[in-house]
Amino acid sequence: MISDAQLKAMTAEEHSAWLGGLSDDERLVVYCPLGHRYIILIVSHIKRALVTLEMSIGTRLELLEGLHRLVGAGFSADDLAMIEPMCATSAEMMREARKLDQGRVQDFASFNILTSCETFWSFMQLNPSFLDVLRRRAVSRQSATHSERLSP
Amino acid sequence: MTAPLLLEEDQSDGSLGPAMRLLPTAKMRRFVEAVFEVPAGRHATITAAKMAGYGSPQSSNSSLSVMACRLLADDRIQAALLEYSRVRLRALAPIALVALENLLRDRKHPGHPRAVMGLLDKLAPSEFTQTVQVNHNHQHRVIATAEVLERIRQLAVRAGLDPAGHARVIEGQVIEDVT
Repeated sequence: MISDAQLKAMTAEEHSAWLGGLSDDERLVVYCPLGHRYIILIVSHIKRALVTLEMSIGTRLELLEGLHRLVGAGFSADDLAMIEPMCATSAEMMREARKLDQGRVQDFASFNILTSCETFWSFMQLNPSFLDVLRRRAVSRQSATHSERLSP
Repeated sequence: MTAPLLLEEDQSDGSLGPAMRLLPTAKMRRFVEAVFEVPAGRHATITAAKMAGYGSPQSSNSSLSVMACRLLADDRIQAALLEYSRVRLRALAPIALVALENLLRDRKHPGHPRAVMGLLDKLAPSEFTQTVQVNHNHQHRVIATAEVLERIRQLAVRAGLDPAGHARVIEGQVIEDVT
């Protein structure tokens, strides 16, 4: 997957050509909103914490409740159920990315890195469930568009 | 000697308080009233006993004193004294008000400023604001009841996690394909 720097350096023609040459899976990532990518990462990260860390009943309940609060427009309960917990490598990548924030989350430093096509693609290679979610989302969107066209 | 004002036997109607009504004899009731009527002094209780009708004209002061002491030690008499003192105190309110009014009108009286200030304090008490800062450091703790555990189980199942907390973790490494 191409990096953000390479993407910015492209001319309009090169960009169009790049989009035209994307595989189906790459297209799913490129056209996935940044917020959606970030939610997928966060969910996976929290799930890792739930299955690997020892925590109190209260914290466990709080994290699970928090996960279910993410369900809403654009992120379904099925998406939540499909996402697998993050592996140790991915968790380390998350940790390193968050160091960029240096206590200033509002600067979106880690957000920009984590949700870039290149980084998210790497996460997806480590956790194929991300791709499953994107595929499911694409299918559900297509069916929604189809039913809209059919409706009078 | 104070003029007899004491209750007669047939006057013990509903105007008496419960403690006074509980006294077994009219003499005891008269004794309670007499204690308040007799001026304070060395032989006050003896005089009160005499006024209530205790003893005989030949009774000595020492015997009357014994009678008065026994009466004052009686729990029923003590309860009646307390009750009667409250009634008397309330009855003094009009007199106190008249005295206060006179004091307030008399500007030359040495107690005039204190009376004015005291009345003003009663009518418009001075107010003050106090800010109290409470640092609440209570931590809520979820207790592992059956309901909480069941809620966790349901949420975990719905989130695609193993309820026992052993969901599959995908382990792997990124391999950069440089082709």
